[in-house]
Parts: sequence; C-alpha cells; structure tokens
Amino acid sequence: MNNFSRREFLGLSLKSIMALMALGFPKKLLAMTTLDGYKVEEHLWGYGIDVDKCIGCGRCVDACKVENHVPDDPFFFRTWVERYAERAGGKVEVDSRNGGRDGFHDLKDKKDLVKSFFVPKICNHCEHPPCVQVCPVGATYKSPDGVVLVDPGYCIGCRYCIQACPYGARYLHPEKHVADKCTFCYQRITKGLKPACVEACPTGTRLFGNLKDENSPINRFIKAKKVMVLKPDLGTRPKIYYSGIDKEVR
Amino acid sequence: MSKTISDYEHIKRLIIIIFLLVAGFIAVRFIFVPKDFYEYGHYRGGSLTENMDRPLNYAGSQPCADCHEEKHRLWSSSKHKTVNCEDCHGALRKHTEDPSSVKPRKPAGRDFCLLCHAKNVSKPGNFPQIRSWEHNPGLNCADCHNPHNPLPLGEGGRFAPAGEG
Repeated sequence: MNNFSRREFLGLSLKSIMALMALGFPKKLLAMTTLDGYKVEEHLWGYGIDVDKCIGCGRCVDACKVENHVPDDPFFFRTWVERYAERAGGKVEVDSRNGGRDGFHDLKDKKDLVKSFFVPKICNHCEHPPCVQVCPVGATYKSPDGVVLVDPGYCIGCRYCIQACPYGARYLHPEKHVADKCTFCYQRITKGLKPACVEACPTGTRLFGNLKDENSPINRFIKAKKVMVLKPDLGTRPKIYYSGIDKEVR
Repeated sequence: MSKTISDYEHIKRLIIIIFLLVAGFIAVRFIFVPKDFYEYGHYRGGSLTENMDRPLNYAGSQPCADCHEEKHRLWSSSKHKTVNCEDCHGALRKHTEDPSSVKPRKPAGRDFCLLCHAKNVSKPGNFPQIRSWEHNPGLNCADCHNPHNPLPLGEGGRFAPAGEG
C-alpha cells in the first residue's frame, strides 16, 4: 500500500478535480464562436420600448406576423400592443383587440378617464428565463448572445414553458405543435439587420441594439431615459427596457 | 450433493448486473442524444444556426435607395422619414431579389393612413391626428398630401396630381 504524504495527497486531488472539470465543461464555451461570419460572444442583445411614443398603429404586430409566419388567428402573437385605460377610482382596463394589429378605435367612454396609453409587449429575453428552467428536454435555451430561442425539432409540445412564462410571451404553434415565441428575429439580427418590429415602428417607440457596445441605440436609450423592466420582483432580469410605463403595467 | 458457491459469487453477479445497466444507459444516451447537444450548453448547438438560417421577408429601407433614388431622397428629409418603405408597401425582400416579377403592393388608402393619424385619446398628444369624420370624409389622403413628404396644406402640402412623388 502506498503511503501518501499530505502534500502528495492534496496535489493529486487538485489535479484530478481539474481534469474532471475540463472533461465536463462545454468545450465551445471557452472559445469564441463564429457562425457564418457572426461573432456570437461579441453580442448581448437588448431591446428598448419608449411607451411615450407609441401610437398603437400595430405595424410592429403586422411586421412580426409577416416576417416570422406567425398564424393569423387573433390569439397567436410573438409581439402585441395593449391599451391601458385608468378610470377615476383606480379601475384599470386593458384591451388588445387582435393584438393591436388593426389599430385601436378611440375609447368611447372618456367621462371618468384619468389616463390612457399603449404598451407594446414582447418576450423579455430574461437573463434567468423560467421557461428554459422548466423545459424537460432542453428544447428552449438562452443563446450565448442572450436570446431565448426554441429548437422546434427537439420540442415535444408539452406546454410547460408556456405556463411558466410570467409575461405570457409564448404560444403553442397550431400547425407545428411546438412552442413558439419571439426570437428577436434571430435570422435578421445575426446579419446586421434590425428585428422586423423595430424596422416597422414608425415613431421610434421600439429600439434594439448590442448591450456590449457602448454606443448602440439600446445603451444610449438606457443612459438617456429612466428605464425599468416588467415584474422586476420575479428576479428574471428581463432585457426589454421600458421607459414611461406606469404602476398599472404588468 | 450440492454445488458449493463461493463466498463472493453474489457480489460478482451484482457487479455484472450494475455494469450492464450502466453500459446500457451509456449506449442509449449515445444513440439518442444528438452529437451537438452540450456544444454550448444544455441544448442542441445546431439549433443556433437553424434559427439563423430562417428565411427573411423584410429587406429594410436601405436597398430601396439603390433603385428609387429620387423618392428615397424626398422621403429621407420628410416628416415621414421614420416610416420605413415597407410599412406602407409591404415586405419587399422578394422584390429586391427579383424586381421585375415581384411588385410592391399599392398602399391601402384612407383607412391605412388612419391607423396612425386617427384621433385617439390614448395616443401621445403631440402626434398629428385628425377627426376623420370632419376632415374631408371620403377623400383619399394622397389626393392632397404626398405620403413621401407630407405637409400641412398651408405649407405646400397640396402637391402635383396624385401618383407623382
């Protein structure tokens, strides 16, 4: 039987721990990844919504559906626009007919209206996404550049992620029978283009950029405005930054 | 006469069973877990490129300038410069790839303009809005306002016959 000295024993333990860690660690995590000329790790995508500018025209909803082939039915959306109306006495009404895709008719009853405004909604691409945590097969994940994506070939359609999302940003695709959601138009942003909704927004309500780039539109927005995120108490750390939202917005 | 069994026989058998179970588990995993799983994390690495390779439908306003130079110049200094070409003309990626056979749609008339410009108490007050039932009902907006350079009528908003500009 070998008799290890304490020094030898500690040294050997440390080496074996390091060897085990090196084996188990995802290899590509250490290196920079380039896919078709797109440097993944140089990006961390963020999104800004300036509620004070939104006119509820719904061009974003339309553009999203066209770009991503989201079903036309009025209950499948990757992004949608809500109208908030606060009445005297604190009662808050929220409506979003066809997700706002056809615009909004003026409110009929303005008598006891305190204020009203539009709030565009979208997947928050959380830093700690509950949908990813609950997926039993690893079919939804946070990409290295911070986008929460779905692998439709791997999804079993169990809907667990849909009910786990605190922002209601997911739906089950009626034809593919898999979970579907906003991808920030991953096919566009990886080619240097803006997401379709940002491209379509006529008032500059929606903006987008790389959080790792000091001078990107999103970083300038975060510096210039007083921003907040939805449901910060959940600890999901969203990457959709809102400016001008009120306490009623959930 | 009974066969004598060694003291360690049952342990040997147990070790063989455990070994077979573990080997079977590893073999099943090897067959069913895709090769690119865990490439970047707990998901299929190939899914990243699949998401990247989805087809695009919107081209953005920049390619429009290559052919429609004059309209682009007028539009890019107008009040509508934040309204991108494809907001009114539809998704035009296919048109940029094959301009002769895929034509952009003619923008819908008054109702389309009213999506943005109809009076609505929920809109920001400084956004230009009209009461459509008072503001020349029934007329097409483009009869008076050039969509590529809209101006109030007093400032030359009335422009050459519809269709130009």
